[in-house]
Amino acid sequence: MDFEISSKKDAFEFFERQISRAYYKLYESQKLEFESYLLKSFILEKELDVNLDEADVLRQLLSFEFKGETVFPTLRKIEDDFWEVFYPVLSVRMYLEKLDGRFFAFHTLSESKKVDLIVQKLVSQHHQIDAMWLWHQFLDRQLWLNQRSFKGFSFDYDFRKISGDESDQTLSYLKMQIWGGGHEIVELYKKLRNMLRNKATLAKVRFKEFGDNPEHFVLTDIKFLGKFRSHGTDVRLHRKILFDVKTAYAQKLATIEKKYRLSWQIDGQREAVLEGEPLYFKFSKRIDYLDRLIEVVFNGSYPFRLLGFVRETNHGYFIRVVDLHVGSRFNLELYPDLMVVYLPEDVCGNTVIRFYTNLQHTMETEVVVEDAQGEKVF
Amino acid sequence: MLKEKRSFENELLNIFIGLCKGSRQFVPQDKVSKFQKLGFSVRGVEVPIIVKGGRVTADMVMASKRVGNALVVEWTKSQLTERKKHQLRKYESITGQDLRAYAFLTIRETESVDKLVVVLQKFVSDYEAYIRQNKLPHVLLAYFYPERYRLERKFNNFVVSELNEIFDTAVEFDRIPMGFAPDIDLSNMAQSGLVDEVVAELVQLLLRRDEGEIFDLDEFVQNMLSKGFYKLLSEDKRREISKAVHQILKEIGKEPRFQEIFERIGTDPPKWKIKLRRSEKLKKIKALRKALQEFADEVAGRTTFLSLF
Repeated sequence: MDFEISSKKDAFEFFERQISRAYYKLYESQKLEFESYLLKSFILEKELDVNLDEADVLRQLLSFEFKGETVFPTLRKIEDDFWEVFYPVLSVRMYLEKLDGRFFAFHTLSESKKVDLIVQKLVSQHHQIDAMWLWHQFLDRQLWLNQRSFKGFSFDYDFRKISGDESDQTLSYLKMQIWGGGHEIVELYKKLRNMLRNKATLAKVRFKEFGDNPEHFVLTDIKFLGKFRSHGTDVRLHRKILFDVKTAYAQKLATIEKKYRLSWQIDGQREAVLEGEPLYFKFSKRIDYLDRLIEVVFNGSYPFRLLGFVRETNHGYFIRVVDLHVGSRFNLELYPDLMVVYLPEDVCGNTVIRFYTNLQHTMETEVVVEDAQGEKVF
Repeated sequence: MLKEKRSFENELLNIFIGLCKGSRQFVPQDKVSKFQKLGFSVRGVEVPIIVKGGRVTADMVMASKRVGNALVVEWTKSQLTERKKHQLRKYESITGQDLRAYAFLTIRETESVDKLVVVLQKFVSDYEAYIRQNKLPHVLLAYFYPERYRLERKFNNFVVSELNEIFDTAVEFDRIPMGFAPDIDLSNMAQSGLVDEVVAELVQLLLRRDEGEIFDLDEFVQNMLSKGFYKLLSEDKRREISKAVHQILKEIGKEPRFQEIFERIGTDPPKWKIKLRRSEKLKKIKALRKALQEFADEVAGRTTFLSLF
């Protein structure tokens, strides 16, 4: 890049030139020219009390351990809600944008492999930052919004760790990516979905979205970890997709935090009402390997990052869970057909969404979450 | 892994909260739905009430605006003693006005008041005879513990006829909810659930705080129980829980394997300082998980937990 970006508008105009060039290069030759990359954005959730306006706080927050060293970025404030973040060690330049009080985004044209590594390090090393975890149904919904044109999907799951089944009799893991256009791709998606019912978990979706006229469009991939990758002619559409996903996600978080956190509300001196209710995770089939599930899910490792203190009960297990990521607690009852999650008043809704999304990727896709009245939450 | 030894009191607390709020664990569901339709909600746990014969602490108070009724619940797993007899007589004199004064219920909620006594099946005949002889209005329910989750009305009627229908034939469940109230036996601190709660709370605190930060017993207990639930408890009960938690934290602190995580720096009030560095926190906590679980198992597995207290 041979000029300095001095505003958010500048940055996105530059991005637009790049993604437009990338689109036509890909269209013509099916490959990108050297150092021409697609626009990648990540939405991340931050703890509410982290102030992104202070350079020192931001510099600490965006540092990470890599190969035994602490990697710090250099920062340049461009606008109140827009920073340039440069990692000299990895030669990666990203732009941080505050989306609202709870979410921020990174936008970058740098190489995917390096950017993915940075984001993964930041999320795993800082408890103040979490990814956006897009569950199967959420991604599926993205394909059909705003008359988008369906361009592909990827299924990605691995049930071996929890089920312990590595025999050739069942499909225990799968990675599949299909890009294409036309009605057949939609049919193929539906057929595969049906055929691999309860196994095919969406890891990525691809669609084309148009603006006011057919010349304005973007071709966008959304990955389940909250990564958006676009090329096309109109960068504003990329931003619109980002903001729409953020809004829908934030609504789900708000619902979880408002309706399903249990708290004793005290009015006056002793008048108490228990607000909220537990969440019921219903398995589509009986789980006979609860002990292995507990060992894999509650040992503190990525991606669940949950540490469980487990007690056997008359019909199942009672588990006190500490979320290593954000340092919150919740309790859980586990039975072969059901899991009941009791969220305390200070838990972050993202803990639940991360838990649910990762269950889909490691245990079963069709786990349904309902409230006490049977109303579907996921 | 040790089996969770839920206390009689904790089971009943969760059952009644679950009946009021509704819970999918109750199988079958029909009796729960009927109870829920009556509109009862929990209005207090361990509610102290001063009556003619002295002070009585109700295990739970529930009330419904919809049917204009309050339920004052006493549960006990002990046999009928002179102390219990005295307590039952004190319950008799609890009025709607007392509940408005001490449990902050409304006039509508206290149009009628039922006293509900829940006892173990094996002591039912003694309690029933005493209630009958003394013409006490208490509704007597039998609880089958610990074999199965079953409540059955044995003597006297509820004012609200629908409650009689619900409890006339036994209310029996395959499963009950376990997470509405903290797993602490409010009548006996010396049980396993409390140790598990302390261990999990300590891990949470270590994650949230940095090296050198200080925490005291009072804030530890309030966070562990959740501030709202803590407020529901009487001063005596809070003190009792704090004392037990203090003992457990002292025990943890004595163990050489946990000396690197925190140290005691004050006694009045008890205070501790966190020793874990931010950079090593996650690794150390993950490594300590097994040791902490073992500690909880050891304490819970002792022939008498009372050795701790």
